[in-house]
Amino acid sequence: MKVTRREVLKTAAAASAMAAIGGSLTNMAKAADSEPERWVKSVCRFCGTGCGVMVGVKGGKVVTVKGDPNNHNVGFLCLKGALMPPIVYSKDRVTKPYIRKNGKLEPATWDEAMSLVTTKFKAALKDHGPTSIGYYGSGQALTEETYLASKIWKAGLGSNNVEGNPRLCMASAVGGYVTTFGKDEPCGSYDDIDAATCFFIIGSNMSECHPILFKRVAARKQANPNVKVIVVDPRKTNTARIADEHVSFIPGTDLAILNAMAYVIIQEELDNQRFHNKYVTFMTNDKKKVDFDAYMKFLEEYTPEKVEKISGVSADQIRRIALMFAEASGTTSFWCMGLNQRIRGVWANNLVSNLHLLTGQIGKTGASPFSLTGQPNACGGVRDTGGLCHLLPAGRLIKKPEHRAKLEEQWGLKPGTIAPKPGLHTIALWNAFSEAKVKAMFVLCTNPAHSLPNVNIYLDGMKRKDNFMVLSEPFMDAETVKYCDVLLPSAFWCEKRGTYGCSERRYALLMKSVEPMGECKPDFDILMDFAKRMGVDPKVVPYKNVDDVWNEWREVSSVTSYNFMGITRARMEKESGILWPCPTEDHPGTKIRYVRGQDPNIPKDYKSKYHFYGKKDGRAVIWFRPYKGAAEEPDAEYPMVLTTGRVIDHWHTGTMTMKVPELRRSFPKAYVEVNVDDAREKGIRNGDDVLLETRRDKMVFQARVSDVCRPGLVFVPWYDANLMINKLTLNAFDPGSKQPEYKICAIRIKKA
Amino acid sequence: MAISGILVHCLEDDLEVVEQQVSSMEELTTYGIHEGAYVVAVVESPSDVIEKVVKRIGRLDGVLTVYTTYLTIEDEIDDDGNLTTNLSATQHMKMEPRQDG
Repeated sequence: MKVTRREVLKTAAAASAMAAIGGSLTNMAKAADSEPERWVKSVCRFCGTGCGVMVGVKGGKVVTVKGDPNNHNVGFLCLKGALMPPIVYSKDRVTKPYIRKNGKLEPATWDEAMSLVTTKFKAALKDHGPTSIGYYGSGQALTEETYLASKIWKAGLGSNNVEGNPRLCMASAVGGYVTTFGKDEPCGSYDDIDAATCFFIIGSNMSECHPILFKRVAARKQANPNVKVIVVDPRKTNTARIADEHVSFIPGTDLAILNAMAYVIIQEELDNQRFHNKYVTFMTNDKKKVDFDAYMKFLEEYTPEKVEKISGVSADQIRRIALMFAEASGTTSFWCMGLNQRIRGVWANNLVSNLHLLTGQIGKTGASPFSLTGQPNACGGVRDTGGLCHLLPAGRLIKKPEHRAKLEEQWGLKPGTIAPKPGLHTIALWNAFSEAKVKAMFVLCTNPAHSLPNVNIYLDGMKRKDNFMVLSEPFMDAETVKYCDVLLPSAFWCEKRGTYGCSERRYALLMKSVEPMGECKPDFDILMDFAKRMGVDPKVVPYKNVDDVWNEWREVSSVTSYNFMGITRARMEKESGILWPCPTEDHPGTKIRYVRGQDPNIPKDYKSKYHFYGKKDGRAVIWFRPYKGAAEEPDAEYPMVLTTGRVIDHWHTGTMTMKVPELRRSFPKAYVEVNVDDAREKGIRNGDDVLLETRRDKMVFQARVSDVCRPGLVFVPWYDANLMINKLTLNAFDPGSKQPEYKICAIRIKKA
Repeated sequence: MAISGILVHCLEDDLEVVEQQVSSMEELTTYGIHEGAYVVAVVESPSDVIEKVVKRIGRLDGVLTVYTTYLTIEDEIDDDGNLTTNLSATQHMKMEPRQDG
C-alpha cells in the first residue's frame, strides 16, 4: 500500500511525541529519521531554558522544527519554540542595509553603511574620547559575538562602555551569586528537578515563561504526590495551579517573608548547624563578619507575626512554607524577574541563598538555589564572557588591576591597554546617549526603544540629531528601527553558527542550517568588518571564523574556575550541550559545583566536602539583608501597584512571536489584568477600556478581570509595541546590580 | 496545512476522558495514553489555527498543559518556494482580534 507524504509527516510527528516520553514505535522511528532532507542540531531561540532543537531543512529552507531528544528537554518544546520556521521567513526581515536620510531609511550598500558607521565612531573617538562610544548587545547574541564585541571595545578601542539587555533581566542574579558564593551562575543543574522533594518558586511564572522546565517540575510532582510545591507570587498564575502553597503577598514585601522563613527554620531547629558552622560566614549588611547569634538577633525583626503585618501573608502560612522548605530531603528554589527586576534584587537573591545555606539544602542533587534566565544566551554570551561594563571574561572584574593584567597577558596586549575604570551601566549609558554625551552607539540584536524602562526619555534621546545609532537587527518592525541612523541586516538564528549557554551552565552549538536571507550577514562578520574599518589592531581580532573565537575563549577561561577547555567544537558538534566547568575533553561536564568529587576545581583529596572557592576563606555568605520596599510605593495619588511580565505565547518585545499568526491571535494586543474586587469597586467589566496612569505616562488597555492579580495589583504584558507599557514603568535601579525595577511602580486606574 | 506532534499532559484521573475528547476533535489523531500522564496526538491544521487547537485542548478539564515536539510547515510552501503563512506583523495588525477569548 502506498503511503502518502502526508501520512509520512503525520507518522514523523507522532514518533517525535512518542520519543519525547521514551516510547517508540519502530515504523514511527523510521519515519521520523527520514524526514525531511536533513536535520541540523541547534538550540531554541527563545527563553533561557535552552531547549535543544533539530532543524529540518528541505530545498534550502527551514521547514520543520522538532525537539532534540538528546538535549535536556528530551524532545519537548513549547509552542513558541516549535513555531520558529515562519519567523525565519517573515516578510519583515531586514534583508539589506539602510541609511537614514531626511528622516527616512533608504537602502544602501554594505560599504556605504559601514563607511558611515565608522566615520561616526571615529569622529566620536577623536573629538570626545573612548567614553563617547558605546556597545549595547544582547542575551540573544551568540557567545562568540558578544566576546568579540567586548574585546573590540575594551581591548581595541579603549572603551568599557559595553553593555547589553541582560543588565535588565539578570544582573541582580549575578550580584546575588557573586556576593553569596564569590562566583556567578547556579551551582546545580536541571537534574535537580528530578530529585527535589520541595520546589520553592518565587518571582517566577515558570509555567508561562519557562514551560519546559515547568513541565519537568509538574511531572516530578505527578510522579510523587509527596513532592511539595510552594509558589510565592502576588499573582495566581498558571504555575500556582500545581502549588501546595500559593503565597500571595503585598508586592515588594518578599524580602521580609524570606527573612521570616529563616526565623522559623531556626526557631524550629531545622537549620543545619554542622553545615553552616563549617561552610558559612554570617555577614551584616555593612560587611562585618559576625556569628550565628547575631543572625538570630537580626531575624527577631522578622517573626511571622511581624511579617504578616508587612506582607499580608498569614503567620501560619509563613511557618508552613518554612517547614516545607527545611524538612524536605531536597529543596530546589527557582526564581526569575520577580526577584531580579527590583531595586533590592541582589538582596532578594541573597535571601533565597540564605535559606539554602542555613539548611544545607545545597550541593546535592535536588537541592539548589537556581536562578532562571530570560534569554537564550544571557548566561552564555554576556555573563560568562564579560559582556558588561564592569566585567572581563570568566568572571574577572575591570576594577581589579590583577584581572586586567592577566587578561592583557592572555590577549597579548601591552600592559595598561584595558582602561581601569568600568564603563557606564545600561541606564547610565542610555542616559548619556540621551544627553549626547555618548555620541555613537552600536546596538546589536536587541530592541531598547521598546525594552528600556521609562522609555519615553530614551526615545527622546534617540531622536536627537547630535548622536548616532547603528542597529544590527533581523526584523524591520522592531521599535528601535524607527530611531536608528543606520540599519544593518543581520543573519538570524539558523542562518549562522555559534554557541548558546543556558541557565544551567549548559553550552550547546547552533549549527548553521541555511544561508542568510538576502544580503544578511552574521554579526560576527559585521563586527569583524567594523573592527577592521576602525583600525583595530589585527592582533586583537585574529579570527577567521567563529570557531577561532570560541577556541580563544576556551583558552582564556582555562586558567579560571570557569574552564571550558574540554568543550571543543568537535564535542559540541556531537553532543547536545555540556555544562562547565569542563577542563578536559574526557570530562563529562559539571552538574554540581562547590562539592568535592563533583566540581573539577576542587582537588579530589580536598579536606572538606564543600569548598566555596569563590571566597578567600572558602565559605559562602549568609547576608543580613533587611526588608526594604519598592522605589515607588503606592500612595494616595497612585494607590495601586503595576507589575509587568511575559505571557506564554509572546517573548520579549514580540519582534519574533508577533510574526506568527497563531501566536499573535492568541494575544493580539496587550491588556491589563485587574482583580475582580478592584474591578467591582471601579465599575470595570471584562473587556472595558481602562486608563492606566503613572507619574511617567498614561495609556488605555482593555481589561481582563480575574482573580489572578491580588487586590491592589494590576499586570500588563510588555510585548506589544503599540501599547508599550515601558512608557509607564520606572527606571529606578538596584544600587548594586544596576538592574531597573520593572516589577513595581505606583499606578492609578479608572474606566476610560 | 501544518502538522504538529503534541503531548497532552493530564492529571491521572482524567486521562481517559481527555483522550476521548481529544480524539473526537476534527483536527486531531490520537496515538494512545502513555506513561500514565500523556496523550500522544497529531494536529493537522493550517498553522494559523494550530494555536487555537492547542488552546482548546489546554482548556479541557484535567489537562495540565500541552507540549509540542514537532512542527512542519512543508505543506504551506507555495509553488514559488515561499511560505503561505508568511504574514508580516503589519498585516497582522490589520487582522480582526480573535473574539472567542
